[in-house]
Amino acid sequence: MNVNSTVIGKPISRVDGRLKTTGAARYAADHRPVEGRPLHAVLVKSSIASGRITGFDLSALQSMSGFVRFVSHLDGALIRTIKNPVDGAFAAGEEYTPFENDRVHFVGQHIGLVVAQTLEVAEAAAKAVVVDYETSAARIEFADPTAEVRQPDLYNTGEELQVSRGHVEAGLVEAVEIVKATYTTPIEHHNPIEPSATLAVWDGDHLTIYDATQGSVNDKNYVAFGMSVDPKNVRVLNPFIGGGFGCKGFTWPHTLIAAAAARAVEQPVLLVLSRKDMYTSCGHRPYTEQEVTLAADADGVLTATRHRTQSYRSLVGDHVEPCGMTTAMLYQCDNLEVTHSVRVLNRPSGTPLRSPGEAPGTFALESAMDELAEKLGMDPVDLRRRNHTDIDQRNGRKWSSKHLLECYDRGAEKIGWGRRKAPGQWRDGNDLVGLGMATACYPGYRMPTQTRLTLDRDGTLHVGVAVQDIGTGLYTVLAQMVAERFGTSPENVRVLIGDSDLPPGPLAGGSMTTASVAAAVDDGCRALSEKLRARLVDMGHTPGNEPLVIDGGALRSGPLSVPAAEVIPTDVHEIVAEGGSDDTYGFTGGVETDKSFYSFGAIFAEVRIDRDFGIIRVPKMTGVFDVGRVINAKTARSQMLGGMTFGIGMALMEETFIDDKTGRFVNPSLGEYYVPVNADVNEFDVEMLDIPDYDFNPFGARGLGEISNVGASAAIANAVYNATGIRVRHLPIRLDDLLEDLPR
Amino acid sequence: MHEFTLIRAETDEAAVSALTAHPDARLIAGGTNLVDLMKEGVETPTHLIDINGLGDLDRIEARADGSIMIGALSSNSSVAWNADIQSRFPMISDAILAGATTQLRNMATMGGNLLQKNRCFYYPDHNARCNKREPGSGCDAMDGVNRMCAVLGTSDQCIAAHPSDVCVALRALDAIVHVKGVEGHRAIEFADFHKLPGGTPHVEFDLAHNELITGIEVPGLPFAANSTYLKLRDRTSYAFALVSIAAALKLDGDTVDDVRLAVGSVGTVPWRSAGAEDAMRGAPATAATFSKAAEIFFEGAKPRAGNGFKIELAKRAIVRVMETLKEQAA
Ligand SMILES: Cc1cc2nc3c(=O)[nH]c(=O)nc-3n(C[C@H](O)[C@H](O)[C@H](O)COP(=O)(O)OP(=O)(O)OC[C@H]3O[C@@H](n4cnc5c(N)ncnc54)[C@H](O)[C@@H]3O)c2cc1C
Ligand code: SF4
Repeated sequence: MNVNSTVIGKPISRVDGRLKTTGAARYAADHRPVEGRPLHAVLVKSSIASGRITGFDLSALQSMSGFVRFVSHLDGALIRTIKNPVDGAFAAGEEYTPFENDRVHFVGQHIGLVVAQTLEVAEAAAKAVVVDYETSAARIEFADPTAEVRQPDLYNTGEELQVSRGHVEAGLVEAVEIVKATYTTPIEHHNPIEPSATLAVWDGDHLTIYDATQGSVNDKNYVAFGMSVDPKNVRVLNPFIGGGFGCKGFTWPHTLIAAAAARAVEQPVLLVLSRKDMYTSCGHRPYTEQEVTLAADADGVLTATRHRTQSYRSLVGDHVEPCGMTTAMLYQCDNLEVTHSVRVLNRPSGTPLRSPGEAPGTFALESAMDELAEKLGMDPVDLRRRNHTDIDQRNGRKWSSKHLLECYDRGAEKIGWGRRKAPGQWRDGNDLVGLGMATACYPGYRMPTQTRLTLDRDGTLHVGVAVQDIGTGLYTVLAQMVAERFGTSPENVRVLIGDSDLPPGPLAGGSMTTASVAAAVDDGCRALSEKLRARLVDMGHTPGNEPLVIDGGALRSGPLSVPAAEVIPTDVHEIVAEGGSDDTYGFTGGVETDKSFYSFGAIFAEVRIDRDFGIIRVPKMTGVFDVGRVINAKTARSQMLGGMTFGIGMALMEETFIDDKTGRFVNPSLGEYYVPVNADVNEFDVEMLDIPDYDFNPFGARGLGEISNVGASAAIANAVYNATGIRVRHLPIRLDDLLEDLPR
Repeated sequence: MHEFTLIRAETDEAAVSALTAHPDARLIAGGTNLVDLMKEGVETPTHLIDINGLGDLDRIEARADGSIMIGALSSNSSVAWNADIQSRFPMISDAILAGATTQLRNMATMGGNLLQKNRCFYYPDHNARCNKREPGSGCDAMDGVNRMCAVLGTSDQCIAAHPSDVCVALRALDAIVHVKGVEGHRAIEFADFHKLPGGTPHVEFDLAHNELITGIEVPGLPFAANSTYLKLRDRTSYAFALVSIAAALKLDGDTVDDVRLAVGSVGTVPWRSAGAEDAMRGAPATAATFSKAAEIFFEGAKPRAGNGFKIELAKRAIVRVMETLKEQAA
């Protein structure tokens, strides 16, 4: 690996930037079938939280010109029953089959689909469907005493959700200071700008789907199963995705419903979810209630840690918000207990949302650390240093590469941590000013990935893999990796992704795509290189040991230079090689290793709070991250800016309200679900340590993205405390939380 | 599918007679509020009467007597950036610029702004009970998510807060709404234009179905040159107010000579309190005076579970704004 690369780590602008900024990039709903116009579909959703559908009155629809068909559970087996959400080949957001029967489990469940010639007719027809229900008692309120409570053993990564080591009670006895507090985080929605959309086109028993999905291979396998066709006959295309943040990760019912409807009407069907549909169709982050106990001796050494998380799940979705997983790993502590329980409620299903578990979990843990530091009279950064560990607390392994202490140092220096004063003591005009910090961390994940590397007669390299660029910069990163291996410029590499017919890769989740493709690209490039060398030998050349360079239309090795057009015979057009890696890291069943892989960082926030009104502003945030090798400084930084912006939203604005009586989300629109606007985002100072982790993959990159909103909400909450002396233990923190107690 | 007929009105009279002819017609100006509500199915007009072609209604006329006549079709932006508005009534300009976004303000008209619907979460949701949308159905906000709702002027039928920014300024300035109907012209005091919900929350304006707003007259008020608008909200831009203050102040030495004060997003209509203003007139321009006025302003306020904070927030905001105006006046 050439650390002084001219390609790796450089701030190269997105290779797809022009397409995106000129509107030429086409997203799922922009596509049209090769022949004819698609029919438009609109979902009919349940308006009750629990019960049965006893009938549909469609009389108003029949007379609507342009109305084509209504499909529902009454159509019989349009979709094959899917018993288990994960059957190895795919992961679905919910463990039930759409239109399987007459049961209603939550408000907003898909119970029917209207297909019509135009979107307008489909919308009107969907509104005109009268649904008769038999309602049954619904459990909606979080604290409903009749709700079933479950304690699942494993998260979907295979990690233990109930962890215990040492003796917490004994640790509590040893302590001189104990913090015990309950923190809550609200329901949050992903709200990508592009809503989910599916265009389903059948050709005999072959199905092509343009889908706004974070995982084309997963999607393909799920739809093939539900449609009872060979996965080889299904092709999912997702060349561009307008954000997902987790709600397009697993496959959700609407994709299957669109495919089933297209088969039923024997015409292509386009289903674009409305913003309101998005709130109940593809998951959310559930509300969490987290009781955290931290105990420490006089030196600040943790003697006991307890993190009990309660959240909820729907009747048909098994997502658990794994808030305590970070706690089990992060600080040195021999006596620890982490538990997770979920209450089964008649609410829509949860799903991973940007840093599932880590984001809400570190709000609680890192707020509690701040409270502990305060009680001990210690600097919060020092408390974290005191409990720093080089050993993964879950399994006793060493970290492959961990430079968290350096992150604390750099971050503290950059934000000017020395300026920090005692709570409520820093005033500037009408503002109360405060500084806060938190540790950030995120697991290193890697999944099996295959690639196809091709050289054509122009000397252009092509790399193909069924992964997707959800806006993160993967097109560019892949081009850089291949360019690096062949000593050429990224412009000389064509990237093919977003097509499930390509060699399989993982879904875009867990910040793992870069790390996963790194090993596969490395192997694919090796395979292509070997083929090309063999070809040169066949041609009578003697390539040296120097790496093969492909640049300017020629292959070079040492003094040897042969035009690509000569290397590749005219009847062949191109030389193709496949390579990949079957290794898994970070999930159960992964590679046996004596190392643990995690990224770390430190986030610092400065807040200014109006002393009369309690309005909170964040003039500055600093994030210093240890994420392994950075492949592209520009796209990496953009990820961190986005994540820290998420942090501001999570800390101060984002919340979906639910009506406890009816189970409806009350503010399902971007007008009423607040995320930060430009004016809320001020100075972000981002630094990457950029220390390669070659134990993880040949490019040394652990991947990045989600880490930047882990800890961000706690850093802001801690800064709010420092500015005002008011500890707010729920998110979001709004002015009404501070108003009464502000030190005016 | 809900179909409607689009009619382009060429004259004021044509607009009025088209309205008269079609009981379920609506005028469309910028469309920024109406079209949203049509998409939600809350507004279902049979006819849309486009008034954008009505000649003179987008004029802003600054008169010699200090008043300004704002045509109903003037865009919110054109009013906000008008030099006479900025010098004579800065609070109008400040209020508009604190609202919505540039794109919306470019489209939105002043007439439309006066008639904008409330932003109660339950109003556009057909599955929710809402007396304003469906008289007699109930009010889900009462015991639901009511953090944005009003504390003044509420009834047991409706507690929705009036959401407009500029209407708060217009209320403070005693603007006059000019309308045209079949019987000709009518002028309505701003105080009477927006109606309290009482037992009929769906009746929101003193405006007949077939009346066209032609203009908004802001009477001359020299001391309004020292005025401002403060909007407090959950994010820095693109959010409706939690509380807003429109105020003007005139000092005579250290004494309050004259004052105007209206508070937004706390009332079911833009709110004024004669008692609060009287308490300030002739009193020393001190924090104590402003504070006392703020107390009087909120006498009789009725908070619900989620919106009680607005009272304290507004009181502090009143004091802050008056202090700012006092400094500016000095
Ligand atoms: C996302 C969003 C954010 C917003 N934020 C804010 C904010 O922060 N603060 C704020 O104050 N406002 C805000 N608004 C509201 C905005 O100010 C109004 O939508 C706008 O002023 C309405 O004007 P319009 O010309 O578009 O009205 P239209 O939508 O065309 O009409 C609204 C109503 O007025 C009637 N009407 C229009 N003109 C006349 C006339 N001359 N005579 C009689 N009837 C008439 C129409 O029939 C209709 O019933 C926001 C709106 C949106 C969509
Ligand atoms: S407060 Fe008014 S607008 Fe809101 S639900 Fe009640 S009646 Fe409807």
